[in-house]
Amino acid sequence: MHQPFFDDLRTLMYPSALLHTFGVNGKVSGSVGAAGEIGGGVVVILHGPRGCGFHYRHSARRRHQPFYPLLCSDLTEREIICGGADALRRTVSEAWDRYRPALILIVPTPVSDILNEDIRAVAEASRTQGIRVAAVQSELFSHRDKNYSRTRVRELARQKITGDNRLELELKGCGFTEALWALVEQVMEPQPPLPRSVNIETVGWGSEGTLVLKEIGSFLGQCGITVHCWIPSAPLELLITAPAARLNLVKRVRWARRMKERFGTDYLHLGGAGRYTGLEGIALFYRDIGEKLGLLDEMEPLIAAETEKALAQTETARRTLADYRCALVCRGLQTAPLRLKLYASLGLPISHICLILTPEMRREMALTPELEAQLMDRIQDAAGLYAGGSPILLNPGEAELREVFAVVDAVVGTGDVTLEGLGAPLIPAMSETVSLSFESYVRNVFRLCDRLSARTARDELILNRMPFQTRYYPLYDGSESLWAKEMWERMWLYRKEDVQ
Amino acid sequence: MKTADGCKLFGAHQALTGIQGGVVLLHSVVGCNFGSMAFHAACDMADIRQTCTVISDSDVIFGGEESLSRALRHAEELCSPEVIFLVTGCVSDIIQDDVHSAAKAFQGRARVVTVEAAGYRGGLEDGYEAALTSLSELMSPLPTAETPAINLLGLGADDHRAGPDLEALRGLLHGKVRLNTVLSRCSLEELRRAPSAGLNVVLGRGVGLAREMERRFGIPFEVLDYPYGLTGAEGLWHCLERRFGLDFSEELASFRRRTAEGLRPVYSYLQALYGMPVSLIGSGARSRGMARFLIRELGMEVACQAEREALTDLEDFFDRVRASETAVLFGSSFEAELAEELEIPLLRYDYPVFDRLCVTCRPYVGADGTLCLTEDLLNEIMGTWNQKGALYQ
Repeated sequence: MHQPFFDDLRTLMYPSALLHTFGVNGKVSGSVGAAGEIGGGVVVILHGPRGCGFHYRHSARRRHQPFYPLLCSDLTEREIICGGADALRRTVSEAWDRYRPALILIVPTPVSDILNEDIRAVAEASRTQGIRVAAVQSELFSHRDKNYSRTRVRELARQKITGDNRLELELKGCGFTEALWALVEQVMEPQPPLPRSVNIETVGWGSEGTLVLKEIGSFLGQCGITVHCWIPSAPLELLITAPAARLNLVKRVRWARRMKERFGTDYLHLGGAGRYTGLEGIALFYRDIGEKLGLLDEMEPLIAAETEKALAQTETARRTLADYRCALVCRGLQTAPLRLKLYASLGLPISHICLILTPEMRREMALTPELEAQLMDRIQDAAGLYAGGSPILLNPGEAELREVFAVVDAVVGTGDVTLEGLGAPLIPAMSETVSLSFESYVRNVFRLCDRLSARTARDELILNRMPFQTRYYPLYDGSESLWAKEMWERMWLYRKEDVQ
Repeated sequence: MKTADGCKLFGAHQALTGIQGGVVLLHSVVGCNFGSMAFHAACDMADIRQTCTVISDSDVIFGGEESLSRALRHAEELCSPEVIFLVTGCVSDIIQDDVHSAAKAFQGRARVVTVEAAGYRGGLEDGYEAALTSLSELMSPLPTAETPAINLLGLGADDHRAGPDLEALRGLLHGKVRLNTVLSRCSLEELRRAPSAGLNVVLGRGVGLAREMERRFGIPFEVLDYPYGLTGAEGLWHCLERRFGLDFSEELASFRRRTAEGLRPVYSYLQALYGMPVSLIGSGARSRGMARFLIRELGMEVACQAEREALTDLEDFFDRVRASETAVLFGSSFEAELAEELEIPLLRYDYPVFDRLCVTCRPYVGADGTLCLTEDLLNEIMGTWNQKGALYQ
């Protein structure tokens, strides 16, 4: 990918955030998405009725790019009554005869889970016939743990903003993780250790992610560390040997723990709690790797040199940025500290902090007054550390926003277009990427500098001719959408509450 | 097997989610809701009228009726729909939820129309038929309109270009016949008005409802393929001439003139299409209508044609196309798989289309629609030129 923002555009063109307002993927999506990353000929068999085999090609967490090698065992009424093991065996056999794949990954569906189908036994029997088959085991029925987001906020509130402690939460029932677990259990094999090597989990790196992964690999290479395997975005033959690496750099912790149990491969969890935000965070990321591999002393001069280089490259640009005064607008209370840390690292002064916290957000995140106070304390701490104690406004009205915007050069941190036309140009949040390569830091500084110097009011946005309002942004507010959102939340989040 | 079309639940969704004033409640797991909504969002992301009971593990163990009752109450409270279309899925069917009792016990103002749509009981067309037939519950006898009026049955809520095609179909009637109700893109009011039409025109599917309306209201019906091109329009006009004693000969001549004039600037490209082998796959009526247009009006050779509902395994169709000399493929977004493999253009015309948008009034039926369809076909062909270097190495 030569143009990373086109990659971002392709991601955004799949309306994932919109769809997640009214529903969540079945966890099959995650498993299929993981399979789609594996190179070398992987066929997925969904053990379920034909409809699953139809639509999961599209809703496979692969944007609009379908996962084509998706078969299904076509469970019909007969199998619902008599069991579907024969249908699954037949499908495995047909898949083998037709495609000769390197791996067949069997993924359960809610239907096969209810029928309590022993798909691992089918996989095992197939392996004895020389067909490489792995079966994903459902940890939870149908979908991921719905309390994860709320639990995460509670944990996040306890995190130090400096990132000195770690947020390492397991997400149960995530289809992606379940697939990786199956790879660890049934595909990977014990290997002689490969010194100075890491594996890196590839999915979930956000904006510019693909490029940044390459840059991380490149810097580790300078340190004499090889990226042995990109998990799961590697050829199958390489994935089999993944346990050779000394360390896994992971976004999802559950499968990594299993790999540690099974093969002794240590892991470093790259949570989003702020430890690795900004240039200092990037340096800390490599130090953590060095420490895990016992190479810290060796890596330290290289990390310091790269940090110095990034600072030198950006010195003029940061001096320019230092002359601006910007208002930060954040929706919710979780991200503001990270943003403040990032802007401080980029050298951009934040003179005002505006937080939008709607009643809906409070409810979705189950914010108690205590929890809200904890999160606000975190923001206060971050404002003190990174923004010279700038004032914090919680839910400012339009008049207050206009007052703030009148004295700043631009608004950063948000893509909420309803704030356009209130007196200061917006620098869309997409301009700032959060990533772990020194090069990405340099790009961030230059990009922000460019965008600020070219800042302009966008006062005739077509989007603003539609009925959006900040309270519900980015949701369109002119149709049934709002009831559909509330309905979904009642059935998904507030299931136990008897909301009338 | 590689599935060529969706399941019964997706068909029911396509029959119901385009009815304004009603909401679709899927009594199923989250994946069915997300999957059907993902196809819908490509067509109209501002109009989401569906939700889900989120069947969970505890529902599987203790039964999902309570979740269903709660969902019905919430839907009533939140949007006061006139009708709630309650669509069951595989899981609620397996655990034998008594949805009818739950619907009966519901004390809201909304009427609940229940559609059984377990995915393992049938395909997309079965679900469409079942759901459309259930709509007869909402109809009562009405006097037949004095002026000729028809209902159109067979459009899916998320069919590619359904909105512009509908307007073009209305245009084909030239004010001589009133378009009464279009299923499934109508309001509940229009739905209730359906029994006043003099004829049901069924575009391939919806025969179950047409039969039911014939039985209950005495409305005759005619089944047509999707009316692409002049030949499609002719089929519709002949049917209206027969039923209502009308004459569409002027419109026929005008259609010929409009398409000839419109395509004159690219006539050499039309000559290039002449005799070119193509393959197509689509739901029955669309596939047949498109094949007829390609053969009779563009002069192309149809090497392979498949109707989704008749295909057991999509790979069988793919194998036939691979073995043919196909130069252009017609299908849904999913057939990009084969088009990319064979490095040939794909014209998307069949559900689901999720990687092409349509926000302008560019139909594929009618005279202007014929121009749009041909224009898109030529553009897809030119957009697929993929040899950047030497042509003959």
